[in-house]
Amino acid sequence: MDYIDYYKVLGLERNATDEEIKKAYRKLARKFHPDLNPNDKDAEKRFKEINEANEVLGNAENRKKYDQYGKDWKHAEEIEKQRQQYSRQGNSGASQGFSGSGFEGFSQGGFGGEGGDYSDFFESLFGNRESGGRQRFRGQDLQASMNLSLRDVFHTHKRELDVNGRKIRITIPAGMEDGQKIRLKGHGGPGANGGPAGDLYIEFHIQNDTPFRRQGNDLYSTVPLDLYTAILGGEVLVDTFDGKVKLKVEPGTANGSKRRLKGKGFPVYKQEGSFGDLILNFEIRLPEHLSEREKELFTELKNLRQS
Amino acid sequence: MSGQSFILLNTLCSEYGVEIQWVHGLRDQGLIQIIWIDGAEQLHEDELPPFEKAVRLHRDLQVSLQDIDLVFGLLDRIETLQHEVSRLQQRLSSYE
Repeated sequence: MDYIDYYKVLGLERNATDEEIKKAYRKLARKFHPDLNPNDKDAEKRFKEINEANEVLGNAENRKKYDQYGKDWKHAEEIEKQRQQYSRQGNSGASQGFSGSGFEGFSQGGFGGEGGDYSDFFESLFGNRESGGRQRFRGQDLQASMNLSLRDVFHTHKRELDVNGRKIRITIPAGMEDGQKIRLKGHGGPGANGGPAGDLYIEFHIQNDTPFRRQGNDLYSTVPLDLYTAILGGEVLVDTFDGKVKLKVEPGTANGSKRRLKGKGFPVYKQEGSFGDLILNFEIRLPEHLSEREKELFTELKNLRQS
Repeated sequence: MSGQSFILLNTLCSEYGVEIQWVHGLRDQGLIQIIWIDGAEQLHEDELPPFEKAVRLHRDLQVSLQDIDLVFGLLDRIETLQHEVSRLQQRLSSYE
């Protein structure tokens, strides 16, 4: 951490005005700018020094810090201790002169090369800055879609996807909703300049080819019921999503009446063992193609009710 | 799903602190190429070096947009001449 006299770098006296600093920087920057001196390592080094000097002296606040601590840099140990104490306090509260992020107008996208863009001395005063070359960009997020059936998402299962030639094995949790998206971190487009890859978003389209209607975690279905069981009561075998259950029918069950079967609905997303309900709608079917005898008996019933 | 590296122009502008019109100016001068993907302007990774160079010249040396093209042209000429000097020096050394 060698002390750098930024005033000397810019060829200025310590009492130089802001205008003089600006002028000196512009003059030297034009002379040593790496883009104007390609492949000239000395020019690159000089430009870094000039740029660093300008970052410090060209900003009133930073110049004040430099004037305060830079001159007495032999007390760096004490300054360092202060800074560490500041860090331990969680970077909260009032500034003690070493704000790691209080450096406005810092130029991004420097010139790389050996030793980064700024000296150790600079970083000790103003914090460790992102430096050392071109800006890194996160890769693009990619979008994909996948078609599944309602039966597919009744159970948690694994699927293999081909993304840009890479095989990715993903777990599809039971209870996935139609239109739901999942994010696969880092499986998107590659980053630029060494930046991280983007994410892959997969949207699920769920087709329902079952007799059940899904609403949230609940399932709905219609149960046909013959007239006699509806009137007299009895037992019916009912389809649920994963099998059949025997159901007791109360005598006098009306057309359109409903029955809720708790826990026989759809799995709740990411809540293992938790299910919605199955709501059954009874639809009473009237007997067709009545025989003469049946007609007689229905007539007898009718007369019985009217008498 | 494309494997190429493109950067959204809006992202680029906010990262480098430049106006989108300024980047359009670079394109209009033929210094960079901007393409449309999925309804958004994007820059290919290969376009980053000239873009960054233009930003540096503009920011560090206050070179105006119009003059960046001129500087690029002069730098190209310097590079060509430097190659020519190196070639001639090599040829000359064979006579010494």
